[in-house]
Amino acid sequence: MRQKAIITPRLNVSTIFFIGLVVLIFTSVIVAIGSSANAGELIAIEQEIENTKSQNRQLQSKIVTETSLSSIEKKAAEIGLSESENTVTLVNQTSVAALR
Amino acid sequence: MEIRLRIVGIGFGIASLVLLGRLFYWQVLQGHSLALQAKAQQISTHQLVARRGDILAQDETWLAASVDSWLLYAELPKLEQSPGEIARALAPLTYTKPIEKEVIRYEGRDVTLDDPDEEVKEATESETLAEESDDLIRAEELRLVDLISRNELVWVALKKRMSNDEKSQIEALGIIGLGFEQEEGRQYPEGTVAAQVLGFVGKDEDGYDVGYFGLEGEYELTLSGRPGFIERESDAIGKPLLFGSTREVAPAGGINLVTHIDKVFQLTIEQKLREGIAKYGAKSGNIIVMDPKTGGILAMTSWPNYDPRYYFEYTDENFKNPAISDAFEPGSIFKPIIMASGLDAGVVEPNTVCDVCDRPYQVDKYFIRTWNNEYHAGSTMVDVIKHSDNVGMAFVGSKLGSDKLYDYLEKFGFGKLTDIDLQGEVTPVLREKGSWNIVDLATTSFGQGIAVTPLQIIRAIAAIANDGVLMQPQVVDKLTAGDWESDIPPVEVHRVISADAASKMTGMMVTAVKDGEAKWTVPKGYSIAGKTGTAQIPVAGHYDDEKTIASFVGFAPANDPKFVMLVTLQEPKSSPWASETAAPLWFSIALDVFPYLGIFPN
Repeated sequence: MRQKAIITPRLNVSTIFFIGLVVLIFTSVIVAIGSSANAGELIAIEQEIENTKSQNRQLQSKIVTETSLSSIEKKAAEIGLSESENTVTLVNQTSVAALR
Repeated sequence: MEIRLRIVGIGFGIASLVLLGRLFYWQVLQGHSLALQAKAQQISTHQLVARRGDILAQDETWLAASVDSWLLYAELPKLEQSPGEIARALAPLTYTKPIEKEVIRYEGRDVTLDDPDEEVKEATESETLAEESDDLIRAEELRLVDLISRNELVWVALKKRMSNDEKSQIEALGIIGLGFEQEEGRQYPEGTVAAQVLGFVGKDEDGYDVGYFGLEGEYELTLSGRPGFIERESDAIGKPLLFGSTREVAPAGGINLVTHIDKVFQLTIEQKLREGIAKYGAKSGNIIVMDPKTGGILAMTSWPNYDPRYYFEYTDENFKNPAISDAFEPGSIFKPIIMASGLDAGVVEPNTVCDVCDRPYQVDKYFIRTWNNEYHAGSTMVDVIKHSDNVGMAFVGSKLGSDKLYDYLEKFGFGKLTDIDLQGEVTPVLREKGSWNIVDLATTSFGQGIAVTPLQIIRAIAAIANDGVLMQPQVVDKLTAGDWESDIPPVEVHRVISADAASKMTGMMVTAVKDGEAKWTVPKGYSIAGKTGTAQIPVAGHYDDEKTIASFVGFAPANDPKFVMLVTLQEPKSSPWASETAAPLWFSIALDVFPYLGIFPN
């Protein structure tokens, strides 16, 4: 008579342990890949922040240069604006021109 | 069999002992240093630069600002081109450009202050500059080749403080192995304007940025802030671990200084001082403008000065601010101070008659003479100021007496620092009380034999303009950082003379302007109080016969002053007299700024 195959509890535990181990390894690999990708994104975001800050600083530097009174004076001279030789002061109520 | 087992056992035992020994060595003896090495590999630290505070004018536009600048470096093993090729490409972009001589437009000609008589020809100047640039580029090439050829190094710094534009130009060359590291630079958008007031940012012994002279030096701690850092765990290639530890200490940026400096006034006096020096052939000069009511410094300049961007091209002499650190004998601009003291003490009145003014006045074995050797019998005190009469002033001094005079000088702030918020202020000391003889008393009364700084003089005259109250001079009006701001209130030192004495003195100074030696140059219709001063220069125990210091101090409008201004010219050549040099310069500046300040003729 053929003996009935018996699945021993010992085999079950080993299989479950093995499957568990494989799952854990895969999970840790996936988490590692995921976290590495996230870290890459973090770096990209930080880089973007740094670039924006740098652009801000460059723009501020431009504003500082453009608002310089000395350079405005030079530009004014270049386009032909000159300082008046005589300043005429009008006293209050002085009629200069009449509007019709 | 048993022997074999024993041998194997002993072998294992020895191997175990060796293993334990090695473990002990690595874990215990080398454990600490290995842990540090591991930490260094796992944790990356970056310094977070604290942005230096800006220095702003009264209208909150920039006088000095922090900007990005770049350090150009080379990683020698990565370079693919030869040192010569790289140096040839880089040198035209990295060489230090020659500082152009400042050219000013004067009487329709372009001249430099070094030689105002010779006109600068644009073509000649350009050719000279081009030749000079070629030499500098060749020198820069050699310097770069020398740096890049150092085989023992892997990293060399090639050039510091490069601008964004320069960085872009070098990046466009596409040279492999070059890189940039960010550092902080200082921008002075107005160039040399107010250089001695601002100071500059240089390096300390450890290579860190430090402010020197002027505001940069005085407010170093306030401006510099505190750097921060970020520390976090990273993987083998330096990427941060998402779940790793991070520690960040944010940098505390520097605080901004908002000054009393009025840019329009500042630029006007800068330009006018240069023109004045060219016109009158003066060796040097300085101008201070102060708000008499608050003590705020509205403008301050000196010539020669320097360019704070290229401070390393100049010497310490250029960095010194003569307005606060040079002492001189003031001459006749000191007379209003002595007269005001006499009025306050009640020893004279504006209509008091000088009974010794008809002749040279003998003091001990010396004779006090007037500047033009003309004597006016029956002069009142108003006439004494109007004629700038030395004899009349010696008369006032004798009425006051040396102890009272000394007390008034102290009250006016002479012999002490004014405590202005600028680095480098000095003060000459007063002769000790009780040690004054009658000659000292007489000569001090008309501004000889006493040394003062330009700032001390303007502050004392500002006290007369401010109804007799002495103010502490201040350059910085408030501190700001983001939304936070803190006002620095004006500091009233004390009352020096009564309001009545100040008012009488103002009236006398108005007469001195209207009817004095400089009346030909006074703008019509304006109410200006002022006094000229032509001081001789003491040289080895006597006064130089030809060289003088010409100055003019005054305020306007006389009844409600918006500014007090002192113009000082050293050794003018066109004329030694202040009435023909410093005074016309003062009035020419005043005419330019009157409409801007809303001061109109009566």
